[in-house]
Amino acid sequence: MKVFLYDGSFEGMLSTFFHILKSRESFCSIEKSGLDRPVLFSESEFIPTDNLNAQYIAKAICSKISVFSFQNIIYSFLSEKNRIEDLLFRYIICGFRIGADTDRHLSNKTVYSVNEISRKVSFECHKLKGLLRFSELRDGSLYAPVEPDYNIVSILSKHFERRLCNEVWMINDVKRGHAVFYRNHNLEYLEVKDIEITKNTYSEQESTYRQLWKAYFESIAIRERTNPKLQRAFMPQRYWKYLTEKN
Amino acid sequence: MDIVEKLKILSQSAKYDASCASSGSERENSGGMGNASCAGICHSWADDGRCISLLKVLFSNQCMYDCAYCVNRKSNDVRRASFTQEELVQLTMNFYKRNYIEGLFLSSAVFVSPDVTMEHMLGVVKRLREVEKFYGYIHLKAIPGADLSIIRQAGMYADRMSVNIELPSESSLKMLAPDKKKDDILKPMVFMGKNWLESTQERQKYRKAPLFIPGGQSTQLIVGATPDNDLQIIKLAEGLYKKFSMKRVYYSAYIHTNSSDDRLPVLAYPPLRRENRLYQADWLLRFYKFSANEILDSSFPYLDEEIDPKSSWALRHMEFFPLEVNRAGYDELLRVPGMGVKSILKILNARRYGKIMPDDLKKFGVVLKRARFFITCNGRKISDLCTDPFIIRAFLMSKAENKPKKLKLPFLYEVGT
Ligand code: SF4
Repeated sequence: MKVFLYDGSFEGMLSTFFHILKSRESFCSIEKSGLDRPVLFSESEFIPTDNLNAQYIAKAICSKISVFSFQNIIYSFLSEKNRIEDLLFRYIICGFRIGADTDRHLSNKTVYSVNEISRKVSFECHKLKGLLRFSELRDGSLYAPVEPDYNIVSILSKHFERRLCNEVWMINDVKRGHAVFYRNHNLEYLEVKDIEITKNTYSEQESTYRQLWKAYFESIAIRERTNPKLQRAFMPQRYWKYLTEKN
Repeated sequence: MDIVEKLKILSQSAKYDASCASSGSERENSGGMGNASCAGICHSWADDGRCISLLKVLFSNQCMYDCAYCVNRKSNDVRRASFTQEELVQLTMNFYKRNYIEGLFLSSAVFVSPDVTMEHMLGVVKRLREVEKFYGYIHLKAIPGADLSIIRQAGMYADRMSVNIELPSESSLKMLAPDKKKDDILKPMVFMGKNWLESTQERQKYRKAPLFIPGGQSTQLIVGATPDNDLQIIKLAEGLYKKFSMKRVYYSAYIHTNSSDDRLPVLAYPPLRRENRLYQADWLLRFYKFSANEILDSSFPYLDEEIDPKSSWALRHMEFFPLEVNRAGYDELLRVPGMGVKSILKILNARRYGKIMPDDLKKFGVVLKRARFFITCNGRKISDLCTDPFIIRAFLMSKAENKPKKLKLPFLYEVGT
């Protein structure tokens, strides 16, 4: 059977959904192109991204299923999990059948999995809203490197757009080589490689405030209650790399 | 004194304050820096595992009072420091900008007079809001005895305010905090409760009506420094929630800091277990429709340290169980150990679409290890264990049931260390 390929973008995936729903072609999976998975015994077809088609599907999901489900789809997509496209396709088929109540049918395996994945992604978002650290650079702008498990800088940037609306800042997904750049009330999503931050790049005050924050971090802990296990349970070690207080 | 030293001293002194919550207030960013987000965000976890969400400091620790349990009391020989308003404003702004914190939690020792102290604190929040256009979260302690008009002004800038009730009874207060009068504590509490209520009602009518501590007020008391029992404490908490529209009551296990004072008990460890059980009981008051008199009564004035208060209640009321998960109402299910508000809502929802099977319960987040003794599913028991409260109690207490035990290395390896 057929494999559908798309360009890896969210709109690309929705365009592919649109194509499949319209043509009613049967298929065995939907995959990002360029993954180089051995495609044995099956033909493949590349579906180009079409923003109108993608929008059509997005609207249909919001009105026929729910806005909540649409958000689930975005979050699950950002998990970059293997075969997530197939799961999401099954999910919208379910959703179109059941309607607005879809996400209450947790005994349905597909619905359950999507909700689980989406929950994990939004959990990481929530964690990183707190654990992300900005450093002030010479020109007064703020820079935050992160290495999230899921591809969530776009969502994080929405949070900081509201919060730091008069600043200039960049959140850099170091692992994936993406960054969101915010300036003049405008968000830009860019591919960035090799951003080099050296001591000289930081503002003069930067080291003072880091030192102050570390001092605060140490003095706020109650020694009689030291509990490294609990600390790591809330603040997994994989996030420590960019934490001012842990370096 | 340099600012790092000041920060060390003034955060050391503030850290025993348990309340960290930055939730419950929604403040939109209108063209400045920051917003308060309703869900509350933790920014780090200290070495003791507590969440750090706010810059929690004292304005000053130069206290004129002499409360027995406090490190900063006048008679103690500790290093003293005070911030200037500007220092504190810059610190807050710069920490916030770097996403270290969600906002400021400002308290203070009483210097010169309660009014002067409160004026300085008001100065800080006023500057943050009006000059720096800071929209992040601000929690402010009201100083007992300060003029209500200053407190009122401060409340217009803060998201939440609190007066510590400190100790569970008036007699304890007289003994350990002789400078603080019960009235000085209650007056601002009543005042803030009233103003909060009015402003909330006003805002329902006119959206532009001025805010007054939109996140409400909270308070804190010390557990284990005085002979007050748990029944007294949760009754007090119940009253505070009802009478003063209190948002949260915080319990803080007494930590032995002033060793030479014989008004204080000598405890080898802070009573953390007890503190934890009180939080659970408090939770039952606020979300599970329990009353203080159900949780404890004069024949049981202390919370059971070995099992949680809900299980403890259930074991004393076996006649109430078992409940059928496919039929029982919301209020009934609230009483089942191992079931939380969220899982109950999921159960009620799922019931509309079909019968609930035992396998579903786990998916809804029910802790079967505890719940299984108290429910049936389609008329059938989840476990075929008996209904004898003593035996169930033993099951509830055994930790081995809850977690797979970690294996230890053979003792050989431990000898050298
Ligand atoms: S008023 Fe009492 S509790 Fe507060 S700082 Fe002074 S001595 Fe400590």
